[in-house]
Amino acid sequence: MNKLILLIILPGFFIACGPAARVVRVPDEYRSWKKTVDKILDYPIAGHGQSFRIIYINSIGEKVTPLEKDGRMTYDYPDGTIIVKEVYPSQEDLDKNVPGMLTCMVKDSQSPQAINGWLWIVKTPGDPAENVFTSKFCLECHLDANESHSLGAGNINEEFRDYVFFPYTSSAK
Amino acid sequence: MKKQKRKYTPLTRKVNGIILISLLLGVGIVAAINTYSTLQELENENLDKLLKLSNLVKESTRTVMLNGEAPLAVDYFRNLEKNQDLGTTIKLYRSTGKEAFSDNTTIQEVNTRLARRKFMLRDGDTVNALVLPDDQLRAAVSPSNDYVSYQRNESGKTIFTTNRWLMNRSDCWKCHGTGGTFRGVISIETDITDEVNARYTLFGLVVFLFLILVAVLAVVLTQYLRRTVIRPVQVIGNVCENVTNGIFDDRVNLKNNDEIGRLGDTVNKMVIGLHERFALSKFVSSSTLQSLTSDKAGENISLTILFSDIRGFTSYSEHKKPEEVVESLNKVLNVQTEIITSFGGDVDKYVGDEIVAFYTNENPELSACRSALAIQKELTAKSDSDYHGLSVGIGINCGDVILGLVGSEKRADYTIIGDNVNTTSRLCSAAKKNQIIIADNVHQKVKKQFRGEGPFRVKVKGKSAYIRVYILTGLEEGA
Repeated sequence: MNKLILLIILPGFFIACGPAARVVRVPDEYRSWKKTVDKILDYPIAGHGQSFRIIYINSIGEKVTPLEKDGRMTYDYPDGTIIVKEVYPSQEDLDKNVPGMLTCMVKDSQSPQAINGWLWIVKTPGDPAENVFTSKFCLECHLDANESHSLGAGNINEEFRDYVFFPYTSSAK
Repeated sequence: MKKQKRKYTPLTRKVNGIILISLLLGVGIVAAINTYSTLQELENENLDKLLKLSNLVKESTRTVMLNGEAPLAVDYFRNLEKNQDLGTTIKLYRSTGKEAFSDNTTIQEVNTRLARRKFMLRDGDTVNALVLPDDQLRAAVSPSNDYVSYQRNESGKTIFTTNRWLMNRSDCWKCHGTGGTFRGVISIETDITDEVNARYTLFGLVVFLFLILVAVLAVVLTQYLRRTVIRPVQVIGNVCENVTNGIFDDRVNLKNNDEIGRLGDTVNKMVIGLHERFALSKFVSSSTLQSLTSDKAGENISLTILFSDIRGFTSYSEHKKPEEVVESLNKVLNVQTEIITSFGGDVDKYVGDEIVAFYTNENPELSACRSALAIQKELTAKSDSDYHGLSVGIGINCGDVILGLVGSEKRADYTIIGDNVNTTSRLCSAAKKNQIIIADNVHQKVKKQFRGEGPFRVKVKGKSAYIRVYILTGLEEGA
């Protein structure tokens, strides 16, 4: 079922994306980065279905420091931050350690392709092509990250988390 | 090769054609660009308006759907339908494409997820519930688009539609689950017939005014070009045509102070020059005229020479007034010249009462003989009546001569010189009045037709030996 969902969604991702960029924004060695959340996310979410997700963040993103602005705790990830979410369609894929796709957020507030400061990228592991979303398809769900939501990390205090569901904390491994 | 006759097309027609085509093309391009940009602008305006409206509806829907207040959303859309501006329709479709709130499907699905408090089912399904066309649904729920827009004509009306997805966000999952990426599609349609018609009316008016402008411009430009270019060219053409017909009195009289005016002046100078040359041609031989375009100082040429000299002219002139002498001399010279030229000869020069002519045409010996016989016939027949009793003696010879510019830097003649020229002069001197003496080499060329006497042996000045000559009295018929 999960594979079926991915099969339906994946073509849409590629159609949604612009032409393959020449610049490599998401390096292959992302697995050497720290994870934003220790556990493997396995609860179902719209868009990804019953998949398994592991999230990595690069060293630039580690430097994010929540600050209080106008009475609200605010995360402002520095430009250069890269967050890679591995999506495994099934347990079997997870066991083999072969993700079905990577959905990535790259902070590049000056880029004309940036939507709310981020480049929203989807790519297939092993394929150098990085497809940047030109629609607000990804952002629409990630808007919830800045509000109180029902997902794993929640956001009880309604912090501004810069559209990142699992903010980086120094306790991350 | 046969020369193809060129089709005559008046300049006026060409210029008018160019002006009209240019203006119409220009107007056509402007009209096309204007139409495209006008319609594009209209589409952008409507798109912007409908996107703002759909954003508003989307946020409002999300707000009223929170906290399990779905009935509020139903009322919200019903109120929207009731209170919408004339010509604008706002609809909400499920992710399946069916009109939302039209049956109990969603309520039943939601109730399966709710533990205790469940929604009441509707009394009945909506009759003729709308369904979003499949292609529109697929386009609307694509991750590649935030929205899609369409424009269509329906029953004479122009309808503009914007469809945008409604995402299945985390707020929705409690009731609707995580199974779908999209919750549905917000569709807003607006009737833009009046706006389109207004633009087309304005556009039509602009095109109409442009066409009037084109017509006025075409007339003005045509008149201007006719006055400044075409008529002056016609005037110049008329003058040139007159020159071709031998009329040199006409002049180009233009007031143009431009290239055409200068051309007119140049043509006038050219006509004056041509007139002078034409007048000069009466006084100089054609060989002299030809020499003007030749860069050769002299050349050997083979030709037939004719000398004609008036007999007893000196004694005649002693007893006449100068005017009468000139008149009678010119009369005799003139008739001889006409006869010589009519047989293809060319008068090289007049030396007093003597004519020097030569022939280079086909069969020049025969031409020279015919000329001489015609001269003698004319002068003999009308000697007393027209030519004051004057008569001529003629000598004809042929052979190589030198043709060249002879004289000084200030005054020169392009003439023939050489031994054969001198011999001809001697033959002419030897000829009595009304007599034609031809050299033996001329006789050789015309002996089949020759009628006359000879041969005779004549001793001429400058020649130690006798030369053989004949007296020509006629030529056989058909010669």
